[in-house]
Amino acid sequence: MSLKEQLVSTSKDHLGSLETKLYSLMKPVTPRPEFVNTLRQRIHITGQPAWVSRFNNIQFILILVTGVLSGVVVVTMLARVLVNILVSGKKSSEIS
Amino acid sequence: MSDLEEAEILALASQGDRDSFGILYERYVERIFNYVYYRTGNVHDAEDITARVFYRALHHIHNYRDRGVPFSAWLYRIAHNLVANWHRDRSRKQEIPLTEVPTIKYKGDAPEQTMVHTEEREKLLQLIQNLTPDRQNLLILKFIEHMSNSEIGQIMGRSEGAVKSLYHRTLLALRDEIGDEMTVE
Repeated sequence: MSLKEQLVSTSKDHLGSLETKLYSLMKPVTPRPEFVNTLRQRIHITGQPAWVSRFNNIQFILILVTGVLSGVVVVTMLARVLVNILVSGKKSSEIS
Repeated sequence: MSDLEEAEILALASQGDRDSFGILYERYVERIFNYVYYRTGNVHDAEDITARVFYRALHHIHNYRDRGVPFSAWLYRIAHNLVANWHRDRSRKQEIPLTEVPTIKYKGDAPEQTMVHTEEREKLLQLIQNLTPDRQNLLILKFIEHMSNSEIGQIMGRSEGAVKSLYHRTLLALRDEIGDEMTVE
């Protein structure tokens, strides 16, 4: 066996024993049952209502932006109507 | 209901069915907890992050699309991102010593083995946490989840060959890290 082959073989043996070590030490852990049960209950309680799932994020943002813009338009129109009423009331009182 | 195929459960869960999401939770909570525990090294943070993984999954499951990768890959991705945030935040904050740390039970360990292995495990966990996130993920999926290279590749978004190569490099890096710290018979 050449030196190179010996080195490769030694390295493989060494990595093999490292793997064995990892298998013996890296064991799955069990979460505390209290934690698992509490989280299960919280998830069930705080689950989102079904209608939310019908919209994805982009749809939700579009609906939100449309709603806000519509609100702004309505408020502006109401303000203009109110100003017109006040101005016309003032003019009519000045004429009389 | 728990006998339903995962695709059906996912379809129902993404329509807001909480019972279906509950089935997914039961299936994956231990695996996600294990992943996070080995990435953070402590039970408190592992519980906190695991809870956040499932809250995030619950609030975004309607966006989940089956693209040929298992649902677990999606959950691991969420867990990976939250662990990365945790590492970033932890490096900014001072660590507060915990007075009461819940004990954790290792599967397959006899009580006397647990005592012997505790110190070695702590050292190993520290060494693993010094590796890059990709290498940590690989070791956890391989040794804790006992996944094949192909399954790991699906989760990590790499080819089977790339996983094999990364695994070899990870073992070499770990061997160098171990040095005199632990004896490898």
